[in-house]
Amino acid sequence: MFLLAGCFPMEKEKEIPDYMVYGIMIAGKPVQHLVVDRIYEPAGAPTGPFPEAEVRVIADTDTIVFEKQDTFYVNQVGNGWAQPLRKLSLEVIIKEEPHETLRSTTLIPGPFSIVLPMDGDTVDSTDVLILTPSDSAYFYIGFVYLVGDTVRNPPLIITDTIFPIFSYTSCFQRPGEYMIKVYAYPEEYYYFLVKERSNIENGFGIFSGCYEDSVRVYHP
Amino acid sequence: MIFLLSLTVTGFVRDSLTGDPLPFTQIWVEGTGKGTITNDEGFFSISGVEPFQVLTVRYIGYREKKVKPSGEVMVILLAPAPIELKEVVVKSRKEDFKREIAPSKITFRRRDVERTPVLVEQDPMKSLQFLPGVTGRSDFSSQFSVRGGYPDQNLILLDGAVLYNPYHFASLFSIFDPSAIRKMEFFPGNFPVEFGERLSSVLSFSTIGGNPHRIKGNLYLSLISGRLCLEGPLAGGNFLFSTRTGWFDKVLPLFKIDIPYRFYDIISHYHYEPSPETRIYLTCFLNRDAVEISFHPVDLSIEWGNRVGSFGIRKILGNYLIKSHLSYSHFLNSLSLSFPVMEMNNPFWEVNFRGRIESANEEGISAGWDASFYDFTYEMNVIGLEYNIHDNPVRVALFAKERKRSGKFLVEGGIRGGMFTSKFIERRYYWYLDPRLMLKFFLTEGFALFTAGGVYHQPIVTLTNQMRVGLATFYYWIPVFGKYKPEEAYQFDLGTHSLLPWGEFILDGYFKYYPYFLISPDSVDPQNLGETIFEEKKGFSAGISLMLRKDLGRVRGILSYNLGYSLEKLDSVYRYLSFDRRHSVDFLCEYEITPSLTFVLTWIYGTGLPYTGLRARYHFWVWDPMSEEPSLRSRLGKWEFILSSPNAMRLPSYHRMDVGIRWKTTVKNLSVKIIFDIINVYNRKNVLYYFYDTQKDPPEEIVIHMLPLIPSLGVEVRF
Repeated sequence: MFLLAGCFPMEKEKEIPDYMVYGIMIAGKPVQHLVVDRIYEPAGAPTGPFPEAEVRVIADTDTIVFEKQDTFYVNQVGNGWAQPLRKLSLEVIIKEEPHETLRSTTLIPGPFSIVLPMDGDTVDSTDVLILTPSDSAYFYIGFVYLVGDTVRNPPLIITDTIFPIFSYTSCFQRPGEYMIKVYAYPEEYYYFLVKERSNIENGFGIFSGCYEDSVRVYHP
Repeated sequence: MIFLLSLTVTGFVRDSLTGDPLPFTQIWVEGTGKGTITNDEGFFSISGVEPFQVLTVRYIGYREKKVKPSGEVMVILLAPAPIELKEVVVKSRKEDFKREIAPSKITFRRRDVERTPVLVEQDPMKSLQFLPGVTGRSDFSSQFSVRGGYPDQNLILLDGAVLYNPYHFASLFSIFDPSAIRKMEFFPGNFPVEFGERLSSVLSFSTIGGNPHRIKGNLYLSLISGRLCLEGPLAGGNFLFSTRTGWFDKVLPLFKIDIPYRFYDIISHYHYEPSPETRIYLTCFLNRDAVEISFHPVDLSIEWGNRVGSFGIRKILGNYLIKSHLSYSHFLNSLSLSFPVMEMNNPFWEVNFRGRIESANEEGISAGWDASFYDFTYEMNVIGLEYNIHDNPVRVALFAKERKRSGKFLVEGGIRGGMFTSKFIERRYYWYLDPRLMLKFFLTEGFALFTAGGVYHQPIVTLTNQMRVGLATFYYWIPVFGKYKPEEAYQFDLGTHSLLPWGEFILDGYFKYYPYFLISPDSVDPQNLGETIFEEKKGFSAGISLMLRKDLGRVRGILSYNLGYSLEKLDSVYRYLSFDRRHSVDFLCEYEITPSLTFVLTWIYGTGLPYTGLRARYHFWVWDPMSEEPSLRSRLGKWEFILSSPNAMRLPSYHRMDVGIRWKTTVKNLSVKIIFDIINVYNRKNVLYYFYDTQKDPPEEIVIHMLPLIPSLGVEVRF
């Protein structure tokens, strides 16, 4: 048996890709951003600047080209192509060695809205956030920040359409006007965050659709 | 004509000084060929004895005694005799060899535990690490894997009560005071039907009964811990009380290790015999450990402990011994992390009622029951990801076995049937039947072949994750529920057992197939615990173990080797399990320089264990709702890592040598033992894990090592 033990076919170690992509396409936004980056060794200095690439998204029959602007690849031709429930395909052609063509697809979730609180409401820690559900959304991420402030609170993963968002003490530490933004994401983004499961072919990272809603509230 | 009614004589043979039972004592009727041998409890039964006949009772190392038979249950006390230790050891080993059928089972009796050379403190559990197939994961955990199985697959009992996570934070401290332990039995596999609901092994401790004549005790103080043990007569019975604590947190900073860690443990035992037929006992065990670590901005607090109480009755009914006991085992733990916010709690308790009816004779049928009622809670809260599991499962098992000796064969066959029910998500019933068979064939008086096979199930499991298994000090226990069934294993052993003039040699080939076991995944969906809290796996462990034990002469010790494989099966390929240690060599040696001065040396070597490591890193981008563009994550560092496939990487080999000196002397009628040890004498930098400091840019690899060279001095005073 032990002579045979060496013959057990062992799991092959996964390949580490050379490049990664981070792209969240938010429905209705006039400007869409996408990052093309390298994958690095676990320790040590980065091995070069962000790579040069050709980046385009295909939405049905439309081809949307992203232009390099500093760190990001940006498209700002309007919001016509990033619509709810629209399927998007990504193609990233790396223009340096090793050449790779990275591909991915995603679906922008259907619309949802924040039912409670409403714009201008006064809220305290016992209030809850209520959403109408979005078609195709797997989960939601909520952000709360004091308008005009620079402090970034950690995001909150919302897995139910009724969520006690105000009970998180880190969110409402001072009185004032707060912005609540909730983003609906498809399943692939959840598994990227939780299990590092990439949806980028020939690369690593995430290409995901998103739908956003927001309200302004007052916390006494 | 006068008819004399013949008697069935039953009773116990015990040490007159300590009250400990004397197993393997010979009792025969003078002038006839009739006789028997006491069992592990010192119990015997001989039928057909005429009232005028005389019983001779003999045990090597004790004065022979002749007694008149009686129709009442007898308690025969034998006084120790000045005799060569060699005869005692040889005799004891021969009897073990003749009567023991479980493969590779090792029994450490009180005398063995005291003689076992271990460092810092005599530790019954540490003695295990010198046995083949027993693997520890790190210097900082006493948990052990047996033959590639996970630590939660080992059943640990104290006077019959189940202990969950009976580990202290660092393996420097034993969980039990060795002077409180009368006997430790270790079954590395294929254990008999009276034990169940675990897949790998059984480790069963029995506390000493307490000295029947006078108050005795011992006090032990070392640089890092202290213990006190008292025993003696009390209110018509005997008691034992043992307590320990440590000052680890005061000493380690001297070696530039800052771990604020506190612990204590207490064992107490009382037994009372209202009549020779009946013994009542009560055992309590308490332990509590706490670690608090602060490194800005993170505060980590961990607490865990056991509360165990066991009440037992042993009664003689004719030729049979009936043992039953009721126990309560409460394990509590909590983990709190300030950033990121994490709370985990897993308090649970078990009420167990188990018992056994066993024949006094070596051959015969014995049967029993084992039932438990549990209350489990598992609470988990990590930044918005929150779930609770609460359940009150019930487990009932019945078992029976028969042992037969026929010519050169000794055979034991048994069956254990069980039912387990849990109600989390939905009420489910799980039934299982575990047949087991053991066979020993004596080719000569000192050489035997053995084989054994059996089925094993485990319905109470831990949330054991491949990545965390090596670093965890304790595990989170929950019952199986919903679609998840009790874990299952089939075990098979084939080997030889040889008695040598100065020791013994055991060669054992083992195969343990897991058609179904459960692993906790890296993440779960709180909305769908019934589908995501476990991953269902198949796998196997296999290996060959060799053990050479020398227990006579001035040089004594154990040399063992294990070749092992432990793999899980994916669809068409295999993956290493966390305790897949290919080769391990353990060496333990005690050299008696003079009767009062002993030198001990231990050396452990193991090829590297698998781990899940980091293969690469990438910038962690997040959507920033304030600037409305992607930004690098700030709070937890801007880098994230890509992991290797599970257990695809290997740590470097582990090896460590410890040396020590024991010096016994007498000061004012007190027996004093000085113990000086050096742990990791050549300061091997064994790797615990690799850590990447992401607060630095670029991240820096930091190797976390296990224990460095540590000297230790202890004094034990017996009074």
